[in-house]
Order: sequence, then structure tokens, then C-alpha cells
Amino acid sequence: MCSYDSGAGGPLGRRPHIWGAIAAICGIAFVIYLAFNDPAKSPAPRCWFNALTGLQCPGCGSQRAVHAILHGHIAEAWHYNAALFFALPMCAVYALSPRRMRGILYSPVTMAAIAVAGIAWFVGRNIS
Amino acid sequence: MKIWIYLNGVQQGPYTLEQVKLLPVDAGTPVWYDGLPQWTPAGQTPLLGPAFATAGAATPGSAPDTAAQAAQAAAQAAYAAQTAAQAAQAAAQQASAPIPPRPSTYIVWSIILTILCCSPFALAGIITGAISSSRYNSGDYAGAKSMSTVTEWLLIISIVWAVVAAPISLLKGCTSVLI
Repeated sequence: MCSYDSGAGGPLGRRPHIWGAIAAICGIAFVIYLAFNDPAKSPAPRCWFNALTGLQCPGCGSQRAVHAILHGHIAEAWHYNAALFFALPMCAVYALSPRRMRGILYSPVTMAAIAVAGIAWFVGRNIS
Repeated sequence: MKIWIYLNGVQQGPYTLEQVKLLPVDAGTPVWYDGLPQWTPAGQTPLLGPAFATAGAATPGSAPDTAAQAAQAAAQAAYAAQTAAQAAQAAAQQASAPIPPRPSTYIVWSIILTILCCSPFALAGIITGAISSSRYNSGDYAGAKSMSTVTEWLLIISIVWAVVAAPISLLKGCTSVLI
């Protein structure tokens, strides 16, 4: 996941593959759990940010959206969390891109665009 | 000994003492190495100061007769040529100086945690990652690295906080499920 630039000396940077593998295993297990359990009805982690502030965080709705996607309800999933439809393909692009693409992907312009889009989504879904 | 210098508006280094001597460093160039309390003009540091002092003493003084003046002019011309050669060598050295690898921006981690961990901390991680990338491209490698580390800690905080704070929503008796 982060093999391109794992030169950092921080705690995640020292063993990016191990942490990536742990995160991937946890993520896959959680997706399997969501496939069989509707987060709207069964116990699933709730959003602390929403509970504390009443606002919707950028990720609110993503559990229900994953559940809906896994059951083929794409329109319903879009309604729960539209950002998921952009974020997951983008992560796939970052993870699978050839080396020569990475100058563009990791450029300040691209990353600033992602940050602006994320903030716009966060603000926009709360004022609309 | 690792020496950092501030040249042409960009922090550069680390260099060895020999490399710094080849670079176009003058007595006023800010430098820092472990042991200095802060960035200091090169001419005032114990390490580099003597080099500038001897260079100053070596320049010829005024001479009374024309023969001596001619000799002085010749010496100055030779000195200028030598300086030009040194500058060229320094430029070549600078071009071949190793550029550190781009520190991780953790962009994928940040995106995934923003979407799946309910975490504005991870959203901030995308921003600090972008700053790190920007600093790296402008040559501020140390700044890029420190901002990469900030990103990393934001992601760790977002994971830990999500785990710690998950029961908060249960305690508040939140009936609607909003992840």
C-alpha cells in the first residue's frame, strides 16, 4: 500500500507491509461481517463524531453503504455515502498504479485537490 | 559530522565538512550542525570559521610599486579563475548530491480512515500529507519529513480515538445508527 515511499522513520513507516496487512485483514473481516449483518439493525461501531456533535462526518453512512452495495442496492448506497464511490476507486488507483504514474498521484496539486474535495464533502453534506 | 546549510532560500544537507567547503558558502551563509544552539553564519562557527579567517589573511595587501601592483593583479586574476573553478565544481557537487526519498504522504491510509473510521483527524491527515508533498517538491526535505510524521500521528490518533470513542455513541443512547 505504501511501499513507494516508506522511508519515514515514524511508527507506521518502519513496517508498512505488516501494518498494511493487518489493516487489510481487519478491513476484509469487517466487510464480511457487514455482508451478513445490516448495520442499521445489528451491533456495529457507531460514529462517535456524530454522537458527540450531531454532525455527519465524511464517513457517516459508509457501513450502511457497504452493506447496501454487497446486496446490490447501488442507489441506496449512493444515498448513504456518495464519497465512498470516489474514495474506494481512488485507493485502488493508488495501490495498483505503475511507478511512473506516482509523480502525478503524489504531487501537491493532486493531494490538495483530494483534501479540498474531502472538506467540501464534509461541509456540504452538513449544510444541505 | 552532518552539516545543514541555508543556501538560495533552501535548506540543504546533510553534508560533510568537505562537501560544504566545495559549495558556494561564504562567511554569512547560515549553517547548522549538531552542537550549535541555532542557525549561525558560517564565519562565526568553530567548525567553518577558521577556513574563512585563513582565506581573508591570504589575500595580498597593498603594494607600493607598479611591479607589485601588476603581480597583485595577476594573483587576483588567478584567484578569480580558481574561485570560478571552485564554483563550477560546487555546482556539479550540488547536482550530484543525494536527494532523500520522498517521505510517505500516507494518502491511502488517510482516505480509508476518513471514510471508514469516522475521523476528521484523518481528513486533517490528507491536508498534512499534501503539505509534506509540497515541501518535498520545493526542496525542503526536512520539513517534508516532519510533516509526514505529523500525518502519521494524526492517523494513529484517529485509529485509537475511534476505538476509544466507539462506546460514547452507545452511552449517549443514540438510537439512529450513523456510520
